[in-house]
Amino acid sequence: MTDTATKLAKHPAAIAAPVRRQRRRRGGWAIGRAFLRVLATLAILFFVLFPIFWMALTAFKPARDAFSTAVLFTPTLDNFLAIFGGASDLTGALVNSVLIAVATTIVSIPLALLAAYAFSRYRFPGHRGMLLAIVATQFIPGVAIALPFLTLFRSLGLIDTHLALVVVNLSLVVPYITWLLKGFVDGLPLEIEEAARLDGCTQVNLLWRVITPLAAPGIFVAAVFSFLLSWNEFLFPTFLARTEAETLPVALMTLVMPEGVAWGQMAAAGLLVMAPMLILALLVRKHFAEGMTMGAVK
Amino acid sequence: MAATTVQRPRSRSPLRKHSVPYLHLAPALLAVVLTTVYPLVSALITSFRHWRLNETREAGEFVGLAQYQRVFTDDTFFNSALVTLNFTVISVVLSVGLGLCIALILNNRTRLSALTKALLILPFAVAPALKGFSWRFMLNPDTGVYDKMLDSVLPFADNINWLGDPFWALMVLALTEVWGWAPLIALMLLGGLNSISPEVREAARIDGANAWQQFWRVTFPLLRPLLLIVVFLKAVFSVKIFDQVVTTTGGGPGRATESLNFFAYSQGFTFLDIGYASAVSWVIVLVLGVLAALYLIAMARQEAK
Amino acid sequence: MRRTSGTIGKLAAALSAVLALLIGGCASAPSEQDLLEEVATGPTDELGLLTEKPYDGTHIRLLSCCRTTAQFAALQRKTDREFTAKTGITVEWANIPYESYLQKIVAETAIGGGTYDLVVWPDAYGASAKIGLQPLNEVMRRADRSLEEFSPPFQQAARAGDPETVYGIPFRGFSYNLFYRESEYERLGIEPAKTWDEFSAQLDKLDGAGGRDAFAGQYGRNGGQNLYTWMSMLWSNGADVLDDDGQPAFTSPEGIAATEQYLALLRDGHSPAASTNWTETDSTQSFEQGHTNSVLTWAWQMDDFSDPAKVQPKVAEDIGVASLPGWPGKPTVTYGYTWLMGILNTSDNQGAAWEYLKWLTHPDTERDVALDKSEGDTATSVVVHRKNMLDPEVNAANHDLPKLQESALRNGRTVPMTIDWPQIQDVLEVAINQMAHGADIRPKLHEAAAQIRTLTQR
Repeated sequence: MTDTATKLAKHPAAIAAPVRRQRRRRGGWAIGRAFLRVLATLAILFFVLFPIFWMALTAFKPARDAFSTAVLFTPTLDNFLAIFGGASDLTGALVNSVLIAVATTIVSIPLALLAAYAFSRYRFPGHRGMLLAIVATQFIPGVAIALPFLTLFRSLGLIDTHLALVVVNLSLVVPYITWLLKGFVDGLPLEIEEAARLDGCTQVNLLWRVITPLAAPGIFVAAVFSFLLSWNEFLFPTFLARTEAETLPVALMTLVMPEGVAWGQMAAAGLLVMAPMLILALLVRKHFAEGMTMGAVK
Repeated sequence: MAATTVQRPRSRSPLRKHSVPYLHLAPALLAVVLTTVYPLVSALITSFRHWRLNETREAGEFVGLAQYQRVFTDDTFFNSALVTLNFTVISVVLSVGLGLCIALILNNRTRLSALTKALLILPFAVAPALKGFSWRFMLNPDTGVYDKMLDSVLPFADNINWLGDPFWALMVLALTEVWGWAPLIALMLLGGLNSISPEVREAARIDGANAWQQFWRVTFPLLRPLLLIVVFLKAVFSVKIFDQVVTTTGGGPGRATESLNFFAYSQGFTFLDIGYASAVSWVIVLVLGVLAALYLIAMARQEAK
Repeated sequence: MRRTSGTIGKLAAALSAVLALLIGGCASAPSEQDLLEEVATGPTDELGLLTEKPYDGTHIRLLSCCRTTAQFAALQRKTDREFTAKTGITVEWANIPYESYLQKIVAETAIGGGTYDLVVWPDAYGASAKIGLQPLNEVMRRADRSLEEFSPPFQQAARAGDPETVYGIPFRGFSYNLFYRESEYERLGIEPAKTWDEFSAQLDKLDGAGGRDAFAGQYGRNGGQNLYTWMSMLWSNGADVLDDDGQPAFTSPEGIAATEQYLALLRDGHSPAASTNWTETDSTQSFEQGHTNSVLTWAWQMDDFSDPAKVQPKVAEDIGVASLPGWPGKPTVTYGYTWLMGILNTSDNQGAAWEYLKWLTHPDTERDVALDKSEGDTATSVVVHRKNMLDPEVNAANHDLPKLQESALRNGRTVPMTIDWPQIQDVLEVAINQMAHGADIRPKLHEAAAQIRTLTQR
């Protein structure tokens, strides 16, 4: 919002501001409005939280109550027992999801940070073009990426491996977090870098000792974003995983059985998919939304 | 976009000067090239060849533009293009509209608002595939909890089979997206609202502007650059809609929710027609590429004003 | 600055190495092996297993789905207890989600990833999958096994559209049947209908009987499930889906009449309005929960319908079952659904795989499983060998359902065996769904026929 000030100055309301009619519409109106605002806020809370609440509730319902809308029931752990080592075991998929998301994040963060630093601190031929091109890759439909990789990985014997999924996930993650990190690096003060350089700090040291710690909050947000994107990814594992590298969102389909959907187990598995992401999201909530738009606004 | 400072204290030759940023960029660019440009080129070549995986394991003969011709005479392709367009418009309008409402409602310093703001991020973090399953469960016309609530509030809703009706199925699909995105967009917009100084609004109010006028004359123009980005972001995600189609409707009823990505997926993965699926993918890439370019140009113009 | 460039250079070099590997290393595609050469010979036991254990210690992997389905669970348990004990071969059932199974199974089989030895597929995908499957004729002949053990539709599915070659052995299959609430039929004094007209007339009486809808239809779009009844009706009326040249044949007068009769079940209000989008499980669940008086579905559903742990106890003890109705003066044809198991031609353990396939599809193995009612989650009525379907003991343990199916399946058929079937099925199931939503029958069928002609002319 760098141009707020200029817009402000141009705005007629800001120029003509005679002080009059200052205290009208107080009293009854104000209370009514405050009341409406509280109601609206509660409605928002309901809208945001209810699906999560309902899934959590269903996860603890006995199978025969899964379809009932009762809020009071005898809670059971059956659904969790079923997906942890029981008939619908999902522990393998859980491990795969963690491994793939962690590996994707570890690989993509250094790449993106270097690129973000370059985009932020240098002007060079193709600067704008490359930045836009990186963003534009996100318009490519997933199938256009997954299909060629399906045939390529087949030749390499990499179908249904973690490596395959990490490689393809990079196509999703690197562009976004480059964009996101550029926003954070833009916001870092130049003075410290200049001082470091004057002290004879090499580029590697500068990046590692100065930029990385300064950008740490941004890197954390980027890591969370990267983890979240890989964790939630559905299309790539659908194409490229079978059993060994199957991730949780795809494994949810296991609970759609020929006999019908096991909704109680689905809800328990849903909690498993959801909970880590909810916690991570809460940790970075301050910067998360900003981060997504910052790269463009600045 | 405000200009960033070129931070090279010592002068050097242009080539040497530019080699540094390029070296920084190389790993990321390589990863992006490897994972996006390579498949695109590979798909381009395949799109000119006959290749059905259930016929031959290796790519067959070159057939020129035959598969592109087929795309442009394929009704189901145009159907999915239309579905994707409708879905994108609906979900962008609803997400941004609702997001804006939420932001305006929460743009104050009460404790309840602070708590709500803290929780706004949650739905976005839920896996889209899971969103599909959970909304399908909650809108089951016999047993779903949302269905029951809606039926008791809206009498006409009693007869609606949410996922069975072509219109409502698309709306439900959009709703799964709106649930994740509207709160996130609200968060983004709240960031923007914070940077609007209270004096401006006070000035407008003193000027006699009612709340509505205040919004349109002051808040909206100041939020516009941010809104443009938000619309862009939401549109990028919407045109790629796939996960919820699989987990909520499977493309039905009829073909009412077959998105472009789902269509390409069926051709390639269900029907194993790799050649045709590649041609379809490329048509999608080209169309979306043009749209993206137009939008980016428009955004750049807007900023230039 | 030298160090910087060095590090970044190294990174770049490493990545370009990966790139080069990815682009250049395409030479390791798996190759096919001759099954006969792989299969060991020697003395065998009564199940045809080699008594000298030539594959002792081998681990084989089976690509499958649905590990909780009773028959699959029973076979897996028996594998560990009996097969592994006898042969020393360990078997892993790799489970793929049912919902995405069909796509993955064909993709994996056709692509030939090389990590599985055996694969399980449903009939409709045989023609697409056979590119990755080993012909079994010779090894079957040598083991004295024959497709003649099975009913006609199962045999057709095993050949996957190839008159001479056998690609898989049936191990799970069933006819399409009418299930109904017996007490309601008795109360109204009706017998299971022989013709579709009679069936419609009975539905009039059954509407609202016992507070239930007359019939649970399935007109929704999901893996071709809304075609099961339709195809059976089409065939019984003397029409066909495709003609001998693979071109659409369902727009004949008989085809249109059968389609009209199929949709009348919904349009006349016998089936709940929601069934416009119901899949197989939606309609069977409606019946299980006691909301409908009749349902048309696969015979295996009896395993669930009669299990008081899975359905309302009142429903479980009140199930009647009969063969499908037909048209007067014409032979009634049922769609006989088949699951097959075959050997992947990219497997490195084809000898051990054949050993397992032989055992798993042996009539005695099947008979044991069908008689074992010791545990609820492995109790199954499914048998596919004609010998077992007629076996009095097997029938006594399974509601006489095998006998009923054997007789229906003599006139049974399987889906058209063409690699275009997945696309054709997609066109047809969408057309049926749209007709259920009110589209006019004749023009919609012609539109579907035109679409199918276009896609088969490639």
